[in-house]
Amino acid sequence: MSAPETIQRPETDEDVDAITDEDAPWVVLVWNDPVNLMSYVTYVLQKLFGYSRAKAEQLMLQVHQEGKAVVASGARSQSEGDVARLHAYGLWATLQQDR
Amino acid sequence: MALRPNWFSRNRAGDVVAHLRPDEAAFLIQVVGELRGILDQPTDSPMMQRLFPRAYLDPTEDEREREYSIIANADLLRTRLDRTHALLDVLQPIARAKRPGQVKLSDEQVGEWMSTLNDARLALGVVFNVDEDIEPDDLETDDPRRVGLEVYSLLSWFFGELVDVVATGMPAEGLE
Repeated sequence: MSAPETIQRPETDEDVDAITDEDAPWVVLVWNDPVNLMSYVTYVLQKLFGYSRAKAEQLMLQVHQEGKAVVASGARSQSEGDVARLHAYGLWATLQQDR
Repeated sequence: MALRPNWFSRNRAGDVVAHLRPDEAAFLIQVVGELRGILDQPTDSPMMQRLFPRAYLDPTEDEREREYSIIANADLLRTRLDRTHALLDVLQPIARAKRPGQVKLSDEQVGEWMSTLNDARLALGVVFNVDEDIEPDDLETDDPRRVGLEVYSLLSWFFGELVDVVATGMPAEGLE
């Protein structure tokens, strides 16, 4: 890899913010709801993300007690895929940028 | 631990096995039929909104939500309908038989059963405005919600037992 001859700098502070926002990772949230069983939420988190039972139970309890939990993070397209898989299991999931 | 009717178990090879009487299979067929009717509803019905929730909560992400929902929700609707067909294919012969039936479920079928029974619970949960702490016995005997809540409770019992049996096959180890 060769070094660039000149270093390109963003011209304004707004550009810096834009780059930071675009690069911020996306997080996948699971929200509490009155129908999904705690045992089922634990199972789905293990099945989809390969979490240990202890980790999946910890996240499930966070959902139950605090109303939501971040269950995964990554690029936007990957997070959209995670949300789609969680919706297919009937969990209430959303994605947002972790700003 | 409460006694369970053992609708689901694992055999010695570790496969999940469903044990259903004809009337129990008929009950599940009725529930799956209700779900299929709900999946035909307009996308803005409360049940459909619960089955196909927004991926992007932030209203400033409406454009991304629109792009996401066009593709993902069409796929998910097809998946959900396919899963109901798969369940009915297993349940109908049991419902037509004169004695209880046993069916060994493949891993794929286990996923189809769990997701479909849970889809039905989600939709009925909206219909009957289910709260975590409400039981049929909490309602007056002439309360019109009682029959529906009894269906929901029985379905939840089936579903909970299936989840418990399946969970015994999940490894304790994994990512931390």
